[in-house]
Amino acid sequence: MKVDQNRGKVGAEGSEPGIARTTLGWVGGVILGAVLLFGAWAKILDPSAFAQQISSEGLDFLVPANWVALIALALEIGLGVSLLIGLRKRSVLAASGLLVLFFLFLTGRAYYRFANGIVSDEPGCGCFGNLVERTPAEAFWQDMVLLVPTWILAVWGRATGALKYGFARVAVVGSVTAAGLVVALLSPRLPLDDLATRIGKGVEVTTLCTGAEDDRLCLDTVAPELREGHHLVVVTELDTEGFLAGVDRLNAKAMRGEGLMVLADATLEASQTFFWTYGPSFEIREAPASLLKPMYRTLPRSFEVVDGVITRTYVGLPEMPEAEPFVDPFAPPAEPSVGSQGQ
Amino acid sequence: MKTTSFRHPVSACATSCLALVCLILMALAPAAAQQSTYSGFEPNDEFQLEVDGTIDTKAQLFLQRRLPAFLVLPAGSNTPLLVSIRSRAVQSVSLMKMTLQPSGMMDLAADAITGSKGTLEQKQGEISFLVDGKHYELVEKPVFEGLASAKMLEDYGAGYLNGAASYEPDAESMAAIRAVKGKVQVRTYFGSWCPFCKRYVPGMVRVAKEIQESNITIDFYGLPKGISSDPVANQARVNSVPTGVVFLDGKEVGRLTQNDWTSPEKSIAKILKGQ
Repeated sequence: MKVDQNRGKVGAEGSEPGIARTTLGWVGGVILGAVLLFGAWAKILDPSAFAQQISSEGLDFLVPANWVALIALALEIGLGVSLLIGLRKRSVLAASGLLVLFFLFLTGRAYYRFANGIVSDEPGCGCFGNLVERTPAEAFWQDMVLLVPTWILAVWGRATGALKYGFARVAVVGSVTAAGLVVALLSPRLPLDDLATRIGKGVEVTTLCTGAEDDRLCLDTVAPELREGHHLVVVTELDTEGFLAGVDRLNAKAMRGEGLMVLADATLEASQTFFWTYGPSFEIREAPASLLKPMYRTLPRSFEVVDGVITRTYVGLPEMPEAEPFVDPFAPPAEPSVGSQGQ
Repeated sequence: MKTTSFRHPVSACATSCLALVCLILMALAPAAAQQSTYSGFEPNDEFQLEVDGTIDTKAQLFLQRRLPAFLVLPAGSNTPLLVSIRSRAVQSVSLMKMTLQPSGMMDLAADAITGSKGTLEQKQGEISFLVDGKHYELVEKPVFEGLASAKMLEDYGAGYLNGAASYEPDAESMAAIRAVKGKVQVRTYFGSWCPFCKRYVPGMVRVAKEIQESNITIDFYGLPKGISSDPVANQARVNSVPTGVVFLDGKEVGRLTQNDWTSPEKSIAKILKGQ
């Protein structure tokens, strides 16, 4: 009589789940894996924003935020790929469970703080980077609905038998994780800004918003002028080197009467100091950080808007003709220089 | 033998036409020069003039944003000053070359400058200059604090006055607000220091003026900077400005925040409708 060795082993752990249960388990694992990978993709596109978020959450108390970001990213990719390709080992499910709990803790804490007015301008959780606009409440409940049931399904429907192509699957997980980390390290230098942000060709300015319900604020409220006509919009901080280097050319553009708007999360004092120092011909429009952050990976970032729709985006400032030296139209004629002859 | 002649009929005609064009251009040239003006000097209510340490409450300030340059008219002085930010020049201006437009804007002829008066000095957020032995400083206007009517805000700053004048409320919403039975009160908490308020509160000022002599009261409350620690803001649960609180028969029925300010009258009507 033939004895199935594997069956014998399974029998030691308990009975093998039925086909329906394993299918549901597989579906749960795939969905959970896909969600983790989507979150990882958003972080790969803008790893510095992820590191910033880690720092703002106070999670860099042991290791620098950049390292925490890299470790977290490796975990998320590794677990995501494992679940996606059916590598639902106990260790994978346990680690995924801990990750799910950690996400729920973060989003739950943000939700609690926001709901109790502890943080008044809390942007939605950045677990999906800049790609998805979520309020703290939405972030918590979406995580709860997307992650918890799928994880439970993945555990409940786990096939306990020996895994086919186990080594190959582990190799795939390792390779994809390594590739993901390499792309994350390179991505700041890659032209992925349109993918990593909510700014892109065809996007309407009315859809660029932050907050929910009473606190909802959209770009066309901050800058109603964008609804009509052709404008160049520059998102920046007022002390960003790349922006300061282009102030003369931006001034020239504004002097020509071409539509130009500079958006900055600047205090009134900072705006005034900039005004007195640089004498800009353009207006600085104050906008909250939570509205601006999803528009860029690095500053400055610019985009053209025609009748309320984005038609072109730029990393930095667009190419502009070199500005003529500023001539004060009211300046008195220069006096002839003396004393230079005979030297 | 053929010879060319300047008396050729076509050449003569062309010469005459050219001469005529030249004469017309010469006649127009001085007029064109005279018409060369810089418009767009708008009344400025962000700053006030301090002369030798005393605030000149009657001084007028205009700002041309593109240049950018301030036109400063100190009280009791016949010598307006043009303060150019980028070139750091302070120059005297001929009164005769200034034209006040009905809109309140000032135009300045390109040949308005009568002389150089010195240069600007910048100390952090404020600038000063010395003219004829007097020390001038452009200082930030004090923050408006406390309860105010629409009229008081218009008196406080030209931005509120001009902004209200140019805002056109939605007639249908205004009619809907007027038709509401019961006593309606709208209190707008704002900051005179807040750019977003400067843009949108004038719209509410206009609505308040339009809605006078009805059972609706619209007033304004100026908050200081740092509203999170202000007791009035805390009591009213205001954590961002502007915030409009709508009361119906003494009971709060809704608030105007963020996007609601693009059309305050529509938002009020919507709140009162219970939507």
